[in-house]
Amino acid sequence: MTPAWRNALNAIEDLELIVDRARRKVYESDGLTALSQVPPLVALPATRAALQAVIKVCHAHQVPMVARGAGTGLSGGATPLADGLLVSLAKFTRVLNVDIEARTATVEPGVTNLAITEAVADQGLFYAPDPSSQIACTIGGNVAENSGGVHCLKYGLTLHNVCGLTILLADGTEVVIDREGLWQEGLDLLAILHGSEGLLGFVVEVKVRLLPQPESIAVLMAGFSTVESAADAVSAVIRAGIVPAGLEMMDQLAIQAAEDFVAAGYPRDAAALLLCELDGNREEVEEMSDLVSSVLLNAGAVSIESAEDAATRSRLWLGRKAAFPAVGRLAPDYYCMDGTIPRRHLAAVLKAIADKSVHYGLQVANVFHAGDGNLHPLILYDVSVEGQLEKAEAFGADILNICLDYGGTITGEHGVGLEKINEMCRQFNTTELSTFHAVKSAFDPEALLNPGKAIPTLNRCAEFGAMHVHRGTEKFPHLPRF
Amino acid sequence: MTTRQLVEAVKTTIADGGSIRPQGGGTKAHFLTMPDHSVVVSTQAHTGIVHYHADELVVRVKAGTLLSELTEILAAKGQYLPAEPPAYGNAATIGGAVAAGLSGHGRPYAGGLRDFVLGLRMILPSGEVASFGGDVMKNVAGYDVSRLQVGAMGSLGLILDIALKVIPKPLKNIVYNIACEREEALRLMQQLGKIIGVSALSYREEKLWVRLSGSAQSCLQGARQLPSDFKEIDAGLPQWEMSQFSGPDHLWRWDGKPSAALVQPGVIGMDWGGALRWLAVGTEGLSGLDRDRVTWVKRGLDPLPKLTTRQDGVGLLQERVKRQLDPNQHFINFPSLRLPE
Repeated sequence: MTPAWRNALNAIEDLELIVDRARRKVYESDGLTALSQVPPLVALPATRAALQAVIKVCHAHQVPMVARGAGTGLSGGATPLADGLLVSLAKFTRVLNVDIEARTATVEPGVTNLAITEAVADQGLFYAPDPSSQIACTIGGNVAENSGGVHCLKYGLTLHNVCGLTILLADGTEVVIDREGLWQEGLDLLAILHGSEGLLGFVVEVKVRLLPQPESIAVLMAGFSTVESAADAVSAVIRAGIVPAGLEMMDQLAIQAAEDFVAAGYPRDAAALLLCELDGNREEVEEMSDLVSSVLLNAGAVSIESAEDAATRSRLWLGRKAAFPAVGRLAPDYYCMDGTIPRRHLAAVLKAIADKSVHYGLQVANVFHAGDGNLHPLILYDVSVEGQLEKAEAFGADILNICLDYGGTITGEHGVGLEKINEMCRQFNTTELSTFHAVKSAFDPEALLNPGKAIPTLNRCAEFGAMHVHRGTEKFPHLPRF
Repeated sequence: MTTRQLVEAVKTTIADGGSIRPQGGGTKAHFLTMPDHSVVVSTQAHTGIVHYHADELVVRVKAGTLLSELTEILAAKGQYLPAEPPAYGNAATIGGAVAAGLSGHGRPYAGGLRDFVLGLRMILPSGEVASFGGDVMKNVAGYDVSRLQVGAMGSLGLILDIALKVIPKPLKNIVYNIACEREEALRLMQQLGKIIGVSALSYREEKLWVRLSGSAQSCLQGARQLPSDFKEIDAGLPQWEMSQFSGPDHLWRWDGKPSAALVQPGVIGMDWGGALRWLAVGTEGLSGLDRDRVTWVKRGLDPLPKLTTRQDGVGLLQERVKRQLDPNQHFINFPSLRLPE
């Protein structure tokens, strides 16, 4: 980060550089606020040519770069470097093209997830992946994290809904990958780029597939007297040949917290609650809805409510969508985890988590994308009580290890970033990590893009961080988190 | 055959200086791979289901397991592979299907084979065994090296077993066809592709085939939107067959938007609602077409037409990934090939 580098940046047109410390501080962390670093300089290019010029200058001067979309990520993927340039893609907000006939939209990386659907809604289309932060998170960030959402059991992740990417490599080379034609010849670069957490290239253009809006939607809510019977009910729904658009579970602490917070009409005394969303054409949804009702009742549901009108549907979803802030009212701080497990082990995993809860003396509430096994335990603690932060972190690490012990993964959708870099050493052995490093070398041989994130070096698996929320002072308090 | 035996076979071949071509049933070998001096390491004896949890929509299967056998095991639980990977012979294996990355009629509607790969275990060019992805639906730990193997034709190592997402079979499938010229077929495919419940649109041997899938109700609703001269056929949709490819020597595939005009020469068949078109035509007939949309099918033909490796950013990146993951070229090369300009 020499004066020559600075001068070269200064000469670039259509580039805003943020030098003022107070303005740089805005970028000190992403949604993982426990880790922060005020970036030495922030670049906001307004055109692709300006971005390309920035990358070329950094490449020539060997200055590392961190790409940032909306900064809503939860794993520290966009945490700045002390000795690198933070590159914000916030000015790339144009929807470039909508092809109604081919059902695709081509957008710049800074377009928000929800804005894509908004741009095509009047044509009866939508963009399916819907991470909880969709009103703020950008499509570029979604590609970097391979974001999911509550509907990915049926509609897939970002990876399944993107058919083209234009990227700039670490030396500024532009590569256009277009898969609109569906045939893949040779190595699947789109697959490797999704979820690569900004380590392989800058996304500058995204072509997404659009789907026709379903004609009809139904939501069913069922209460259960045990977690086991709720888990069995999920299996029974799948066994009946139904793949719901969404299938969510909450445990008792989460139910009660949500009920206290938004009064969604949830059964307070239930040990577990399932929310099941079905969509399709009208007759199909009616058919499925009747079938799922009887399956849930047979599986031991003690209460059931169903809704097809928009108002009741949103009430039923409200408690689930408010679960994070609701749990946040129970204690000054909470720490959100993100593991995925084979669903058959749900009861055992929840028991193991409950045992750890007793061991650490910290409460935990569980919300769960039950259809696809993605668990979000929320550990409650109080940072002002000495030792509780450390306990919460140790508890979190134990939960990730429990997920691994039961054949799961340390991250279902939040990404590794800086947060889980430690646990990566447990999930993958040296051979596997070396393969990841080889992939990185193919794209970014000089390791200039987001170094230190996502993939631990073989001899450095020591860092640790976490998403901590203190007295509602989280980074994006207005965003729902589920 | 155990993992250990396969590792031994790989290591021995490497020690002998051979370049390895992993192979399952070999049903796709002569039109997907070029004649070379590689040594086949067969996965055919590495068979069986590792685990199958139908309630969780996940199966993990060893690479040498027959595609037909896997299909039967899934069907017994009312499930299937939505990508419908085509088998070109009874010996076709799931490992071969994944390595070839071919998807069948359902590709535009249900997704491609790569969309359903959750994880896999493989022997790397170093001879070491590694596991990527996992057995769960959502997993963003590490680069997606397992999906990278789909369509890699074994160029990055030998696949040992694969975890796949499976889906409940549609409650009902109804197949219709109509005899028509290709121009009419494409026009109909473009029109019918919008009907909810359409799960295949395929044109071959002067017949357009339509499949509707879903609940009885939704099939009925879809059927009402078909022109009245479509005939319901009391059978499944015909799979892509080898015979389709054994005829003409010069066979290319064109892929692009279904809405693209039928300007390609020598179209003998179409699939994926018009997004995939088979062209039986000599090299000279292809001038004027976008080079990146036209690829050669029969890599086993001798002599091959003059082709070059893809020279754009994608081709160069593919080559760099191959070079990094297999620096000593212990496994076959499978570059993207293009018509020279």
